[in-house]
Amino acid sequence: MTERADLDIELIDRYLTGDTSAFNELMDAHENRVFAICMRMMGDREAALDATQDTFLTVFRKADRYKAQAAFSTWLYRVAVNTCYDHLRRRSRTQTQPLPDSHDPPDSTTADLYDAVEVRPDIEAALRGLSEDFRSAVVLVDLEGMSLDQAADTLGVPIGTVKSRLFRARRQLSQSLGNLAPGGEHQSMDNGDP
Amino acid sequence: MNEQERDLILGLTAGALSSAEASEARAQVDADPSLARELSIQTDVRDALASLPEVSMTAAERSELRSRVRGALNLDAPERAMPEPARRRVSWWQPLFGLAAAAAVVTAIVVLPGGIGGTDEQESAMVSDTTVAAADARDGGGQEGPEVGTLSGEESGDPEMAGDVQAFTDVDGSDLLALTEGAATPKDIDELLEGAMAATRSTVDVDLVEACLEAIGTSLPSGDKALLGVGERDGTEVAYFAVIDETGVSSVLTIDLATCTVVAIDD
Repeated sequence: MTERADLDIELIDRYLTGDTSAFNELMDAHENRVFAICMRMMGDREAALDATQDTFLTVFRKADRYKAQAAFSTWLYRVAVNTCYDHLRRRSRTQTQPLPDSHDPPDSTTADLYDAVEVRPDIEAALRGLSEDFRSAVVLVDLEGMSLDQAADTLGVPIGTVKSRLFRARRQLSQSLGNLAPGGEHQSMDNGDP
Repeated sequence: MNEQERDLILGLTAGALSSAEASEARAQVDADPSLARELSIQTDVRDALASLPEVSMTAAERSELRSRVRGALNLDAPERAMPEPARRRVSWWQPLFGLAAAAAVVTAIVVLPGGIGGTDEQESAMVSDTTVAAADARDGGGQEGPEVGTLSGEESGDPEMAGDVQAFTDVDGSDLLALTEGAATPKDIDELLEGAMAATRSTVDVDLVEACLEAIGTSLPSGDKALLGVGERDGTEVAYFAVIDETGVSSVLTIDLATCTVVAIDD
């Protein structure tokens, strides 16, 4: 385990004994990355904040069931991805998916971030066009910098599945972006997960 | 392109190769135009993604998040009861009772009426005389959450246990919906399920169910949620809930209790 992973285990133990400062330390360490994953998965800040909140609620409420066999962060990010899946499914059921550019930012500082994140709307839109499974692979590996192994652990799937999803997702993104459409001979890989 | 070639491209673009391996892979790619083209595609997309600005929370968002989570966890209460050790954890897959023994078990459907999408009218109609899950059954103590009750509850002796439910095998939500659709009461549901499915009985952890539904939130289909039973799906433990609205059972939720997420909604 890494130093961070060991510290997380200690913080969870402290939290379970009633030390609320441990809560703050865990949030400090992980909230931004959880939010980033949710933001990339969900596509808008409000939904990402809701998913981040639900992720931490689930994790803290079930902290007593956390087994230190895997890194806390792996568990946390796995809950985050699954929570985002869940929120996306609910949103698709209600057909009220908000588009980021239809939202007024809550304040001027947030507005700056909106502008920053949407500086490449083509890529953002292409990301949103991916299936949830493809998107999560791209988000974890290409945007959050996880290794293929870490992504596989986080998603709870074999590494071959992550490879397949990432490879196909990048191809789909390339095609969506229009300027990098693969030739016909590349289509033979577009089959199911291994 | 075969799997080995795909892995080679991914190794180069995901930084998964040593420098020696990367040199070798690069030479292989250079010798094959189709591989070179694929590498170019994958690299360009990876680089385009890397060019996206980093996402981070504003101070206001961070403050709001902390406030919401602290509030929901009741962290600011003077006397906070922490989640207890895993003694409440029930292994649903411990030696299951034989079918003959199962037939003798009376308890059946667990209803979760409060706060999770049910109306007051539905709550009053659904809640029966036996209420389990007292205040001390709540993770974190003092949390607002749905009250859990059983309609024909057999007290287990442990106030945290709701009693026995069905433990299904080779069953999914659509099967359960097909059997129970339109049933108006948990008793009706129980009668429909009785003997119709290959199932044994298992004990459900009310805390776990309650915490999960609470975590999932209020955007679930409206109506009371009746716990039909538990099962296994893709290697994870799931719980099946009937959603009972004014038309009776209208859908079945499949919830992954390890992650508290909705796996499927059959309606």
